[in-house]
Formats: sequence, C-alpha cells, structure tokens
Amino acid sequence: MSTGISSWANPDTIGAIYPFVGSEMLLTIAGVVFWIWWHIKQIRDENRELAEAAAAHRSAGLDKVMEQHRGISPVASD
Amino acid sequence: MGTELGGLITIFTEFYYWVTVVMMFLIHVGLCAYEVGATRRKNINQTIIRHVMVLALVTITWFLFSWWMYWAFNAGPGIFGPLISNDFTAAALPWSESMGPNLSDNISGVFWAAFLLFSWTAAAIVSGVAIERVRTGAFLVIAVLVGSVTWVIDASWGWHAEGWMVQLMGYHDAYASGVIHGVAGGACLALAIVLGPRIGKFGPNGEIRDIKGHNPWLSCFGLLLIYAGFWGFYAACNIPIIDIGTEGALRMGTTNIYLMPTTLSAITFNFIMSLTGGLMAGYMVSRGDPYWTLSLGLAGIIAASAGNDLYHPIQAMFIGAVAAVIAYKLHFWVERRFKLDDPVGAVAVHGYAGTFGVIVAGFMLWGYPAAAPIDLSGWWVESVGWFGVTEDGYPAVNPLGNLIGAFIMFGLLGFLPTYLLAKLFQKMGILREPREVELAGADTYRGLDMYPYFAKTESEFETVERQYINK
Repeated sequence: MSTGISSWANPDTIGAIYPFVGSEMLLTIAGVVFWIWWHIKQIRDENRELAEAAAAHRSAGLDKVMEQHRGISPVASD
Repeated sequence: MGTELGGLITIFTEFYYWVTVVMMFLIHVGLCAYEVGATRRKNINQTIIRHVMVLALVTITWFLFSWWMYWAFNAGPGIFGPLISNDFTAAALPWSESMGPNLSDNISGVFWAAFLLFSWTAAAIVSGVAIERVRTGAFLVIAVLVGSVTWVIDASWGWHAEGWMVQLMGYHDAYASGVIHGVAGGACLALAIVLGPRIGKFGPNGEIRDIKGHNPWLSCFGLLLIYAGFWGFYAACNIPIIDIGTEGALRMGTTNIYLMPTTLSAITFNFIMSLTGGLMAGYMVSRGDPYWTLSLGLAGIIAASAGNDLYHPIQAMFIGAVAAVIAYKLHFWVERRFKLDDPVGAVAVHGYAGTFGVIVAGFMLWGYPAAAPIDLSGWWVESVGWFGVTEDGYPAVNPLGNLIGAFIMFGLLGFLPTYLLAKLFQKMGILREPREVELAGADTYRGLDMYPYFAKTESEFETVERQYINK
C-alpha cells in the first residue's frame, strides 16, 4: 500500500508529493467548515463569558473588583 | 528548470522569498510588542492573543480564497472586464496541486507566503486602534475583511502589473503606501469612529486625557522591530532576478511588483533615507517624544514607499519628513476636533502618511512607465493609459491616477467596508465589550495578569476611571 510516492527515481516526472493526492477538494471543504465553525464558536463563547463577567462584576461591585484585581498601593491609599 | 541557469534562478528566487517571509515575521513581533506596550496592564493578555489570532485567521482565509482573488480580480471583476482565468489563477485555487508540496513548482508556496505576510500586516495594523474596548470575535471578522478581502482586491487592482488601476489609470505604489497602509489606515479610522473612545478618554468638557500604556519602552522596542521586518517587506515587493532585456538580448535585473526595473540598491538608499526624514521631522514636531519620533520614522518610510523604487534618496528623505509632520499634526487635530481615540496613532502613521505618499508619487513620477500594456481583449475597455501613455505605449504614472487611487485605497476599500461591518456588529451588540468588563479590564475576570508580582499598584488613569463606575 502507498498513500502517495513510493519511489524518487524520476523526480522530473513527479508533481505533488503529499499523501492522498486527489483529496484536495475535500480538504478545501473541510478547511472552510473549520474556519466558519471557529468564528461562530469563538463569538458565542466570548459573548457568554463577557455576559458572565459583567454580571459577576456588577454583583461584586465594580469598585471592589478593580481594587481586588489591581490593588491599591499603600502610598495611593494614604 | 530546463537549463542550469533556469534552475539556479528558480532556486535563488525560492530562497529569496523564503528569506523575506522570515524577515517579515519581525514586523509582527514588533506590532505585537508596540500594541502590548500601549495597553494597560489589565488588558495585556487580550491584546496579545487577539493580535496572534489575527495572523491565524488571515492565514486560513488567505489559503482558501484570497490568494486566488489576487490573481483573478484584475479587471474588477465585473467593472472593466471578467473574472480572470489563466494558469496563475488555476494554480492559486485552494484545491490546486500547486498549493502544496510539489516537485514541479518551487515558487508558489514562498510567493503565497510573502503575500500572506503582507496580508498579516494589513490586518494587524487595525488591531492597535481598537485595543481595550473591542470584542475579540468582532475584531477578528473585521481583520479577515481587511487582511483577506479588501486589501487583496486593491492589490489585484493596483499592485499587480495587469491590474486595472495600473493599466488604465497608471497607478503606481511600488511598496504599498496606499495598497496596504492606506487601506489599513482607512479601516482604522472607520473602526475608531464606530467603536468610540475608551471610557474616560475625554473629560466632561471634552478635555483629552492621556491614557498611558503600561510600558512605553516596549512600544518603542516594537517599532524598532517593525523597522527590521520592513526590510523583508521591501525585498518581497521586488522580483529579484528576471530578464529585463528586450528583443532577445539577455539582461538580468530586478523589478518592482509591476515588473518595471529597479534595484535592491535603489530601495536600500530610499528606505533608509525616508526613515531618516521621518525621524528628523518626527523628533522636531514631537519635541523628542520617543514613541512619536519612532512612529513618525515609520510614517516617513510608509509615505515614500509608493515611489521608493525610483526616488532620489534626498527626495525620499523630504517626502518622509513632510509626511511625518502631516501625520502628527493631523492625529492631534482629529483627536481634538472629532474626539477620536486612536491609542497607537495608527490612522495617522498608516492612513494619513500612506495616502499622502500615494498622491505625492503621482506628481513625482509623472510620465514614468507604470507597467507593460496588456492585451485587453475580453475586457470591456479598449485602451490602456487613460490619463497618458509613454512613448512606448505604456500606461504612464500621473497625478490624477494616483489621486483617484489614493481615494480608492483609503476611502472606498479602506474606510467604507469596515465602517459598514462595524456598524452591523454594533447593531447586533457584539462590537464593544460590556462597560463593566472594559472598566475592570478584559483580563480580570479570568484572573490573568502578565505581571503578577507587580500587584498592589494602581495607575493614575484607574483613579480617573473609578469616577465612571456608577455613571
């Protein structure tokens, strides 16, 4: 069995050297699906996380959140 | 590779473009560093990851359709002629055997990658203008629009020897003042307008507040890295070795992107001298501010790039110097007058300087051959060089062609599509971060902190921001 090239004897006659030559259209379709899926999932995930974060910050008090995560230096708070 | 000379030329060309790709990577190291430096500590992770993901998404789309668009859209399509179909377009289709390891094609991959790195640049420029408030998802779609659609269309029209802007209008923009920087700058302006300023950037009476980035030195270092990578960009815009002789007389030489003669020596002179002009004027106008001096050095190169294949070095220097002054003055005038928040000065450095450079090149290079005329059979127009031809019948570079070209780059393909898409995202409520997240910082909810051992410090501006918590 060979997935592509089995001899380099005549390089002048060889073109594509990747395995499964002939599957390019399928690979392209898979690439398009992966790309679109990635955007949709990323936007959905981000929207959910931002909504959670905004709610959490509101609930905890934004001033407190900023203080906790950044801290106030002793000099600044004096 | 029929002969030894042919074989050597092919392998040299393959290696040449490969080296330019590696060098151009530095542009993105630099862009990332300078944006991160301009970002406050609470948003650093977001800025880094957003910038890197731009590169990934432009890459996949560049493979899937943009590379083919570059070769196929020379005539519009549908404006002055049909969709182009020839050996080049066939080889650029994503399912072509040339779009992969292939012993009979040494060039497609490196040439594809060199253009991809240009696309990264166009898209990544837009990143800086939107830091600290845009949502990553919306931004990444906008980046794909700029890096894989609009700039590719303009490149096919005006940065290709057979593009309609070159053939019909004599458009000349050898190192992409308008083709990349004008388009990206126009997109930056559109996004900044639709997004609006960061919370607290402008006070209740319209006063401008300086929101300091967390590390100005990192921004300066990033700009120096962009200079380094820009060498690769310039080299990649040339065809390194090709027969430029006539009537069978072999004369090997280098050409610009339009296959018109230049030399590596020419662009080396002019790259450095336009940088010098930008730096010298930038130092004066910004009174030695390091960030702006370095940025305006870049603006100097960007402005002179349209004609840096042909200018005298001192011409390139003065063009760079004037562009630096214009970019700096316009940046602060627009900020004051229109309350535009552009945290990194991207609209000025890329948009204003690039557009100025395209317009200047039309005057400076008036009458030069833009490209060899093509056979227009199949097109819906009859003659090349609407605004003038040379004595050899080549379309001639001219002020009107470049003026119209500058408008197409900055306005039609730069500003308009991004404005419309950003407006759509705004309407859908997915353009800008929620107010609470913007104030607390994008990295805060997940506990991300690039400087965990520097906690317990609060920036001066955070004190200002606290005034906006309950508003």
